[in-house]
Amino acid sequence: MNDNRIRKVVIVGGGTAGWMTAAALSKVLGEQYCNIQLIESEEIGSVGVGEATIPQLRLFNSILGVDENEFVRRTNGTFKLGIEFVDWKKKGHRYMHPFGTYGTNIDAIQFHHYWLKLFNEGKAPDLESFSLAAMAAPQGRFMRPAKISNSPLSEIAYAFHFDAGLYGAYLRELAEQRGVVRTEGKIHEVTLRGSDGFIESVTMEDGEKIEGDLFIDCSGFRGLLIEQALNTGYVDWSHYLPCDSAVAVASESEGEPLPFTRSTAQAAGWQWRIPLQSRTGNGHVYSRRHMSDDEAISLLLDNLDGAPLGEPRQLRFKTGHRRKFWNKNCIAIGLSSGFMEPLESTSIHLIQSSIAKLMTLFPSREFNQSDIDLYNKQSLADFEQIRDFLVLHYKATKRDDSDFWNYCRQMEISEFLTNKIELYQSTGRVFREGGELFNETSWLAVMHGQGIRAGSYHPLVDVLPENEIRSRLMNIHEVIEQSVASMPSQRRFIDDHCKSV
Amino acid sequence: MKEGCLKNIVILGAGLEGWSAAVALAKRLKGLDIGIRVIDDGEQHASGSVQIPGESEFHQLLGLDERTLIKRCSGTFRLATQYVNWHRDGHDFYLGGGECGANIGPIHFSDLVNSQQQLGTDLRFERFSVAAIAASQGRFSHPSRDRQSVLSTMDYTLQLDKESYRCLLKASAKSHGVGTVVGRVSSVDLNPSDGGVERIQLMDGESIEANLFLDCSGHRATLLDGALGDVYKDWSQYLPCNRQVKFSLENIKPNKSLGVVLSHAHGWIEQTPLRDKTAYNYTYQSEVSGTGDLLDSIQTVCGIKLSVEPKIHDLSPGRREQFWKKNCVALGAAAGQIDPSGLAGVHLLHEDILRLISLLPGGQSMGACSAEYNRRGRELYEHCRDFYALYYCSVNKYTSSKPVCDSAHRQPSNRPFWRHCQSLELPDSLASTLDLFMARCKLKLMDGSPIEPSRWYALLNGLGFIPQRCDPKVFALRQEDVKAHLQRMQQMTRQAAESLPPYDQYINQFVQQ
Repeated sequence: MNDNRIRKVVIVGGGTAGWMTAAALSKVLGEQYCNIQLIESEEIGSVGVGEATIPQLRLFNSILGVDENEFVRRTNGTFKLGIEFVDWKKKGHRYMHPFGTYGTNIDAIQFHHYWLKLFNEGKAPDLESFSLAAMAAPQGRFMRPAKISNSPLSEIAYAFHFDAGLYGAYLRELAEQRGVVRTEGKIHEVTLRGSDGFIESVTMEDGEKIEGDLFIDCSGFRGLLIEQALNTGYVDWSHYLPCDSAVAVASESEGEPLPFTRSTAQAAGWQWRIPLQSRTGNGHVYSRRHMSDDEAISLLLDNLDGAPLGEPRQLRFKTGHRRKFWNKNCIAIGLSSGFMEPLESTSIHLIQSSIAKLMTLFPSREFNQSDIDLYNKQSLADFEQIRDFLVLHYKATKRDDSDFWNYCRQMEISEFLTNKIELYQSTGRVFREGGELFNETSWLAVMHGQGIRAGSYHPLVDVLPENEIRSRLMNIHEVIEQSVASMPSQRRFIDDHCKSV
Repeated sequence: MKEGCLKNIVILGAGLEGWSAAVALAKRLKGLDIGIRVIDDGEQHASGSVQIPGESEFHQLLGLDERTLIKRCSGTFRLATQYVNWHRDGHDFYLGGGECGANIGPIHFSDLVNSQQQLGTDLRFERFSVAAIAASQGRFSHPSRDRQSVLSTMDYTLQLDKESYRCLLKASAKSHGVGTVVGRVSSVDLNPSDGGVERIQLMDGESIEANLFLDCSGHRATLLDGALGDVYKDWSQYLPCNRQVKFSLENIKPNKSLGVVLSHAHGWIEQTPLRDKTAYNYTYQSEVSGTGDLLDSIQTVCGIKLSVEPKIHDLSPGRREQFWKKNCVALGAAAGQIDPSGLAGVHLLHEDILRLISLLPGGQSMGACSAEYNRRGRELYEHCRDFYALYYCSVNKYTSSKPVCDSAHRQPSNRPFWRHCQSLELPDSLASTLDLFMARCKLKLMDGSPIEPSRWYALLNGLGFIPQRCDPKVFALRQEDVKAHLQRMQQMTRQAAESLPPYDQYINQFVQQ
């Protein structure tokens, strides 16, 4: 058989996306399969700020064979049980989007239907009382799941906060150990093959020419290969998600790091707070049509928990995606593939899911078009599903205190999202679509949290007498409260397992 | 429960579909004040056999255990199906229940097989299927519960006498309080305000009202098609068979754990061994069979002479445009027909009933529930259609439509049925599934598909589809190691299958327990 395998992969850009890709490819393909070279320039630097993640990252870590304590220690990391949304539904309101599940299903009917019946009649506390993560997070408690059968402690789902720069450096170390060659410098020119327009090589400023079979563009927003060389085009989604700027600054920690990300809605966007072990990452995402840069910066600085460390950094972006994520022999991973604001901490996940798709559809030098089409189709579906979930936060709001919120409340949304909301409103049903990232818990948390109310519940709930439902709900709540009380504080957990030095 | 919700459910049709829905709903709605009635419209029900999954969520809900089903319905266990002369004479293959082979780390079994096929080795999935080997040797046992054991990879289906199964469900429904009304439908009255069905008028003047109607009246779909004017999407361009004859014989002794599907000049015939008889499904394409004598054809194929002229049933491959319209839900043949044998019929019925229960309307919310029900139903039916359409797609036909393919050009069969199949269309979704599979030995299937990927891989392999490339990661392994791994696996599979007891020995013990 002809050996048509890829002989050389060239990764352009060494931020989080570049090093995640390099570490994963070198681990999965092994050192014998092909050469992997990563080009980055220290001058350009990366966008990496304090990053928040979702639980799927644990799968990525396990594929890399990373020891989790080591990883948290090395990245100044903390743990995360969910996201708190403050002032999103209206000013003065808060809710938690927790990881894990609410309660337990009863007779194959989702738990929340039983809760809905009582809640709508004012006979049950709010949804959060039935989530271990939502209860533990504000108390600053954390632990990994324990092997105790029938206990909510056995089902703790968690993710991480970490310093993206340190994460990149850590992955670089792993990738280089596995044979990835790093080249320092800036790319001067990209050469395309005359016959089919595939990328043939890149030439460095010092004249060195680097050839490859497969090019991964991790060069960030500008898309050095996918856009500047291949003119792939960009689909603009700013009518769905109007924010186009961000300012980010670190601040001194105040008190113990809490195990959740906080997102606070502001007049023309929102502000994140990501606690790390020794400091806090902050940022303000806003729409420049509705707020000036100066206003945005001062709003951010006025709303920090501790004193700022250094000057705020300005970022510009356009929400949307590359027309093709994989074009010819070039695959865009990370910001070069598209951008959505980190409202649900999906940036790292999108990188991870691009890598997973690439591994499944890893090409040979023939570059089969049906593979490429499938990759693009799946990537678009991933982007659209996340977009719709983000749009839900803006659309379902009662805020009317600024032009920005008035626009969001009234904007057009996709048919998919419309159907999802209507189905919940009229029947209380929430389903996860095939392959969707966000599960029923997530949709329920945000729909309910943003104030959407279900008019009815599953009729089979009425099979159980009301007092029976009530006692089961109270029982679940009590078990969760007791379990939470037995958890250590995150501070102690980190001190015992993974403290940064 | 609030005002204006479900109080009455009426099921039109007392066949297998009607009673399946009746028991499931009666079980699930127990404790709520909802009346359930079945209208027995006197239709004759097709006899023969049915195949149902072994341990299914549906039977768990019904509280029907396997032993009861086997005892009461002349039941047997099927481990595999053998396809004989499929697409061309001499081409036989087995589809075993459960998994085939094992992966090496992250590399899928089918990629390992494919890498060897690329080197010219003929490797059949059936040699890696414990179920297929055991069935071919007339053996059976339940799968092992020990996840480490290769015997845990098997799966099986139950083969039941359809009429006995229907009666069992009927008795169970009645014991759970389901009422029966006997009478033919004279008219269906619609509600003038919302256009839904308000009542069914029977010939004897009785009038039956309900909030929710289940149309189990067979392909003619008295409520959905007749009263509500829904359309039926015809799939005969993908699925060729349109006539079926059922009969059974008592004096033959086949391998009980093996079903056999034999292709003949005008279609195929499936042989399903039950405990005390063998059921046959003679299925064909009426255009290619012409007006010849059916009895003669059956005699030619089976070598037996039927004494009475058998009843011919029409088949209409396709699906309803809307399974749930207004307050009516179509189930069974009223919802669609995909595969006249096999599992699809009952499997889809069970999936539909479970989906209906999960979307049972509360309050005034029929519209949102039905939209979601229909959306997911369409996906499910189309996915199953693709799987059964694949049986009729020959490698020859597929590759001849792809100019770049250089696979061996085998002569197409000269049988009229297979020639007719050459002219069938491939659904777009199946074409893209095949393209991806042929290009790189990967399948992209519907999430939560009721047809496991292992069955797709095994069928593609059985039909002779050999991908042009496999997962490039295979080449990180040494080919000698792959070859040795596969040989070891075949040996282990055969030894495991041969360790199982003969069918009769096992079943006698099982029934007595």
